[in-house]
Amino acid sequence: MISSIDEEKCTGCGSCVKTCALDVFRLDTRNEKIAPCMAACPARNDLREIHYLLQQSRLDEALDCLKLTMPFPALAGRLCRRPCERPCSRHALDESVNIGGIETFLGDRDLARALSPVPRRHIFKAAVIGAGIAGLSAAWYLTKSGFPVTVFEAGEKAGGHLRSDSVCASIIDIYAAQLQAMGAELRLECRFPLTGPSWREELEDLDFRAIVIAAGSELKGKTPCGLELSDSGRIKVDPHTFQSSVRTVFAVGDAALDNASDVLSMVSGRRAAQAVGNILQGANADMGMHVRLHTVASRDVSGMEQRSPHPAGSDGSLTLEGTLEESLRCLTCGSRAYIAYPEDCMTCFACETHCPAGAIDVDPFKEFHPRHLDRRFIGGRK
Amino acid sequence: MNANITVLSTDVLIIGGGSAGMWTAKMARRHVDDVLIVDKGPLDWGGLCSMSDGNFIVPHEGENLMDWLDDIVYYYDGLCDQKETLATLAKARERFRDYEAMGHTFARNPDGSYHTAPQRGLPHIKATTSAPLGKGGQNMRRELLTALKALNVRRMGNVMITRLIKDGDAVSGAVGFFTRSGLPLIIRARAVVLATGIGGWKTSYHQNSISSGCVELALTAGAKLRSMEFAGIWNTPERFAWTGQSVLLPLGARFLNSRGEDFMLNHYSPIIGSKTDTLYNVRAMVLETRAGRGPITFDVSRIPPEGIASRRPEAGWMKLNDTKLKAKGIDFFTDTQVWVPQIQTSQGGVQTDSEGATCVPGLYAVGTAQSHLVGVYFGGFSLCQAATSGHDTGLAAGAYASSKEMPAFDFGFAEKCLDDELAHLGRQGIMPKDMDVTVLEVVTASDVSILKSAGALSRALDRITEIRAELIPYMAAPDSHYLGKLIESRGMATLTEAYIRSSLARTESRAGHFREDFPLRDESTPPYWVVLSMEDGKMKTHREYLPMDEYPIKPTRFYMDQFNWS
Ligand SMILES: Cc1cc2nc3c(=O)[nH]c(=O)nc-3n(C[C@H](O)[C@H](O)[C@H](O)COP(=O)(O)OP(=O)(O)OC[C@H]3O[C@@H](n4cnc5c(N)ncnc54)[C@H](O)[C@@H]3O)c2cc1C
Repeated sequence: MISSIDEEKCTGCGSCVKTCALDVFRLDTRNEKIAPCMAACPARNDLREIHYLLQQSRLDEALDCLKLTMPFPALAGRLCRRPCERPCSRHALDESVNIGGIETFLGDRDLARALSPVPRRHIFKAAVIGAGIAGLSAAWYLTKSGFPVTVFEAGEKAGGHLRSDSVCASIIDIYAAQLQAMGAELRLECRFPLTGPSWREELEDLDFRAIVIAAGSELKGKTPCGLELSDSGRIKVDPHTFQSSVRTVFAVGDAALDNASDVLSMVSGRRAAQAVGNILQGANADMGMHVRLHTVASRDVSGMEQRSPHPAGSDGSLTLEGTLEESLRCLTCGSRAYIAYPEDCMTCFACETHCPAGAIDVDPFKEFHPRHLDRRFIGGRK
Repeated sequence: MNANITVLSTDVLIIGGGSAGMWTAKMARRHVDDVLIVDKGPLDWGGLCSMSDGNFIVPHEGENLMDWLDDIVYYYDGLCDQKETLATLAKARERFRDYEAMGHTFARNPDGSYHTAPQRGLPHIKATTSAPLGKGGQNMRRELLTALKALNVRRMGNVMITRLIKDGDAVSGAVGFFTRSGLPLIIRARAVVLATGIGGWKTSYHQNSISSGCVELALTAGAKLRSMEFAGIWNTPERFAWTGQSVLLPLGARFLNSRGEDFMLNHYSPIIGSKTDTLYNVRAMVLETRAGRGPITFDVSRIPPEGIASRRPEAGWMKLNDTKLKAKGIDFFTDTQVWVPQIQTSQGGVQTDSEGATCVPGLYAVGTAQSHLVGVYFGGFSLCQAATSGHDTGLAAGAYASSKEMPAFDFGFAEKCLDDELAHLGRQGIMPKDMDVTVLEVVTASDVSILKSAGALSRALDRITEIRAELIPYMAAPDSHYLGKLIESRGMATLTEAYIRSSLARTESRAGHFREDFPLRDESTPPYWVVLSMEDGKMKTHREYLPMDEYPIKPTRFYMDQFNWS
C-alpha cells in the first residue's frame, strides 16, 4: 500500500499523478515560489495552476484561472512572443511545453463561450477612450467587477491597430460582442476631442467618475489638456497603476507606453482597471498593486521521463486532446504531490518506479484479503 | 444541449488503450484517418500490458501448429473454438515478427534460439519470454505507443465511457465523462471497439483497471457475453504480490500443506504435480484446507540455483518489490510463503466473430474484452491474443467505418444517460471501497468460485440481488474520482451476477469450471457455450453448441481427467 511522500524530496513534477492508474494522487500547486515560466510571463499568468487544471481536464476552471490575468487569451496565444517557453524546465529534458498553443486552445474555447450580463455592483461609471486591446482589456476587467463602463471608439469597429490582421480582427469582434453581452456599452464612431480644452468636464458632466485613455499612439506629442507628458511624449503614468498626473485619469497601451507589446497593452488595461476600481471605492489607486518580488522554484530534471510534444497544427494550434496531452508535459514546478485517495492504492509500485525524485514509498504489503478468505485459508491466524 | 458537454466525433472509437486497444488503433488507421482511443486510466498508461512480463505465446518456425492445437483442445477439455485458435496461433507468428520489427527484445538462449518457458505440463505449448526480465511489458507499451504517435492516432486519458449509444440497431457512439473533472463527453463514431477487458474483482495481483467497465456497456448495448462462468483464479502470497508462477512451477516450485506434503503430486495431480494451471492448484488448496491441512505454502527450495538466478527480478516494479521485501526480512527465494487463492478476472467476454464483430452492427470487442478462455490459462496467451485480435479487429472495424456514413446521433438520449450517471456527483452515500469488498466477499467464497455447487451459487445470487437492490442505489460520489469508482463497483456487481448465473447454467465440470454437484463432463450433449444476454432488463442464459464436426480435432483425451478430486 502507498505509504508516504517525502515532502523534502518531492519536486511536484506530477509523475505520480500522471501514471497512477488507480488515480491515488493529486498536486498542491500553491507555493510562494513561482514557476520559471510564470516569472517570465509579462501577464504573470498562473501557468502552473492552469496546466494542472488542464491535467485534470478541468477545462473551464483552467480558462477562468487564465482569465484572471489575461482578458483575451485567443489574441495573446497568437500574438505573444512566448517568453515563458524559454525558461521552461522541460527545455532541459526534451522541448519546452507549448504554452502558447495551450493558451490559444483555451482562448478559442473562450470565444465560444456565451456570456451573460454581469450583475451591476457599482453605481459610479467609468469611461474608456479607445477600443484597442488595451482599452478593451480595461473595459473587460471593469465590467467583470460590476462597474458600468462605456467605451468610446473613433473607428467603425473595435480593435485599433489589430484590425489590419484579419484573424485578429474577427477575434476582436467576438470579444467586443462578449463585452457588450456582459453589459458594457460600446460607442463606435465617436471621437473624443482629447486635445480639446474641455473633454474632462464633458465626461464628468456625463457622470463618468474615472477615465481610462487608451487612444493609442495617435496622441503622441499632443497634450491632452491638463495631463503631464513623459520624455517620449506619451501620457506620463505611474508604472504600477497607470494613473496619470490627474487622480481620476489613467492611460494605458500605446497612449502611455513606449514600445508596448500587445500583451503589455492588455496588462496595462488590467492593472488600470484594478486601480480605477480602487479609487472608485475610496481607496488609493495603488492599493494592493505593488508587484511583489517572487522567488522562482528551481527544477532538477534528472531522471525524468521524456515526453515528446504533441504535434501542433501548421498554425501552432492544438486540438482538445492535444492540449490535454501537452498540459501533461508540464512539470508544475514548485508544487507538491499528496496522497488523495489512499484506499484505491493496489500496490503496483508504478508511482514509485516513475518518481524521479525518489520521494514515494510504497509498502510491499497489500491490503488484507476479504474476511472469509483470511478465516478459511489462513486458519484464523489474525 | 448542455453547454458543458464536450462533443467529439471520430471514425473509429476505441474504448481502452491497453495492448489490444493499441493494436486495434494501429490497424484501423489503414482504412480511416481518424481513430480515437479513450481510456479511463492516465493518458498512454497502456493498460495491464505495462505491468506484464511480456511473455508471448508463439509457435516458432519448425513447430507444428496442429500439435499446439491438439495441446489446447486437450487442455481446454474440448471446449475450444478450434478454427479461431488455429488462426490465432498462425497469426501469432506474424505479430511476434511485428513486435521485433518495432524493436522489441525477446530473450534468447546462449545458442541464439528464443528462450521459452514450458506451460502447464503440456508437451508443445511454450511462452517466449521478453528481455530484460521485469521490463517486457513496459517495452511493448512504449513500442506500440511510438507506432500510434507516428500514425497520429488521437488518444485521451482519464475518460471513462459509461454507455454506448445506438442509431436503430447500429452503434453510433458513446457517452462518458472526464474522471478528474466530471465534465460530460459525447463521442460520435462510425464504429466502436470495446478494448476494455471484461472486468474482474479488483484483487491485489492486478490493477483495478480491469474492473468491469465492459459488462454493463456490452449488455445495455445488446451485445452477448459468452463463457462468463469462467474466471481466472490465481493464487498469490498472502501479503504481497509476486508475478511469475507460470515460470516458477516448471522450474520446480510446488505447493505444500501444513504437514509439508506435496499434495498435488501425492494425490490430486499424480502426473504433473503443481506444474499446472493455478486453478487446479487452488482446487486442491481448498480441499486441503477443508481437511484441516492448511495453510498452504509455496516451496521454492527445489528450484536449482541457476533457475533462481534467472528469475530474480532485474528491473521494474518486481525489482522494487523484491528489494523492499528483503528489507522486511522476506526473501522470496529462500523463505516459504503462505499462499492464498485469488479470483481475479472474468475469463468470459463479449461474443464476437473471428474479426471481433459483435451482434450489434458497428460494435466490436477485442483482447480480454472478448471471450476466448475457459478458466484455464497459459502464460503469454493474453498478450498474444491482444495482438492477433487487435490486428484483425482493427482492420475490420476500420473497413466498416470507412464504408459507412456517420450515423445519426440521439443527443437527447445521450444527455439523459449522462444526467443519470452525473446525478451521483457531489452527494454522500455508500463508498465504492466498501462495495468492492462486499461484492468480493460474495465471490471469493470457495463454494462459489472454486468448488461450485447449486446451493452456494443460489445463495450467492440472492446476496448479489440484495446488494444490487439495497446497497447500490445508495451509492454516491463526493467527487468525479469516486464517480469512476462507483461505476466500477456497480459493474463488478453486474459481472458477479453474470458469473453466478452462467455458473448455474453449466451443469457439468469442464476446464476451469468445477461443480461439486456435477463433477464430471456432461457427455450426453455436445460441448456447448453458455451465452448470456439481457432480455427485458433481466440476464438470460442459453446454450450454443460447438460445431464439432467442422473441427479438425475430435477430442478424445481431456486434461481434467488426470486430476483426482475425491
Ligand atoms: C503483473 C502482470 C503480469 C502479466 N504478465 C503477462 C505475460 O507475461 N504475458 C501475457 O500474455 N499476459 C500477461 N499478463 C496479462 C496481460 O497483461 C493482460 O491480460 C493484457 O495486457 C490485457 O490487454 P487488454 O488490452 O485486453 O486489456 P487491458 O490491458 O486491461 O486494457 C483495458 C483498458 O481499458 C480501459 N478501460 C476499461 N473500462 C473502460 C471504460 N469504461 N472507459 C474507458 N476506458 C476503460 C482500462 O483503463 C485499460 O487501460 C500480465 C498481467 C499482469 C497484471
